[in-house]
Amino acid sequence: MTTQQPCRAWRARLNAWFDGETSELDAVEVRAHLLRCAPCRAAVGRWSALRDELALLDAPPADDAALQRMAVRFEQALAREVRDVARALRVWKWAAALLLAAGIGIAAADRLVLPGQALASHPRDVEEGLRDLLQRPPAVPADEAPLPAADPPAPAARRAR
Amino acid sequence: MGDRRSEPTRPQPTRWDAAGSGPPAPAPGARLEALFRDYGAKVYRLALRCGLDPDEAEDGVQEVFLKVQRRMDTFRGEAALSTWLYQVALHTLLDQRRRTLRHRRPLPLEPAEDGRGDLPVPAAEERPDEALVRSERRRLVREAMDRLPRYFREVLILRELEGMSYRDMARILALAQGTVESRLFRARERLAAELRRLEEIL
Repeated sequence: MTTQQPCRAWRARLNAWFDGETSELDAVEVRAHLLRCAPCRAAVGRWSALRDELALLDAPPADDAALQRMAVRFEQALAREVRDVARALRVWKWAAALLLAAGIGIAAADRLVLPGQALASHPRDVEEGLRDLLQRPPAVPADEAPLPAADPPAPAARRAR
Repeated sequence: MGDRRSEPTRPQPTRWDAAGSGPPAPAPGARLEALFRDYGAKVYRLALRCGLDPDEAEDGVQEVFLKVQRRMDTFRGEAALSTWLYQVALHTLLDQRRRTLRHRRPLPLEPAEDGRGDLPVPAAEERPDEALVRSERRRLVREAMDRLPRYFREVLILRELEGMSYRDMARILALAQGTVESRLFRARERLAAELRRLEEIL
């Protein structure tokens, strides 16, 4: 079964009129149009019937007992939420403190030379360092370095002379 | 019936912005408690309108306000607090509805959603058989709603059940008013089609 659609040109105004969202002047025009247009009348009838059907889904207001129950439950849930947030904060604080301590520990371990480590490494390192220094050629400053020897004149130039 | 067609009934608008746009309370905890006092009942009703049963709705309300508490710092004050709260609520409750639907059986085996019991409760001056028919019809409409894309459900809930104006809907859904209007039109047509389809199946 196909349903009659309202006139395309009137659709928006018809809809607004049906929902009480038009001016009085518009409402007069829509009513006049409805008198002579069967598809638009059918659409309005359909929407009216639908409105009645949808009214079946309406709900009664909450009774006092339900409201009281919800208020108590909400307060409890809120308190639980606050407790959970506080607990999570505590955990995060501890985790941050542990991380910080671990970081400080690692940094300190990098710089720290334990007495045993220093004694064990000292003689050999110093000895090798000294030997290296002694075997290295003496450094000459750049301005005192000898200039490279000048190239001998080319044979052709010598012949020309 | 003819009268109703020519003069559509209009749902009463909900005044969401009435209490939420005032100056903020000094302490966040006190502010949250005040928010719960002002809007707890409205969010609960919205949860039921989104299709949650009373127990799920209570859970939903709690989840909404806990989310509000967690995100209170991100509220920039560009919109009314109530609009922001409503955005959070709608999003959370429809998410919860989607989650509950995953664990439910399809329509013919689904238990009645009337309150906490299995049998529909007749309204005052209503016969039990009428109550049963109304309950069945409601399940059908709910099923049709659940089959719609979320953006259609949002506009239908806000307009038809919450009775909001296009302007408020545009603010809450962060859309242009024209978009709200056209989306509403398409949502109605789609819901009517879904209902027809379900009636044919059953």
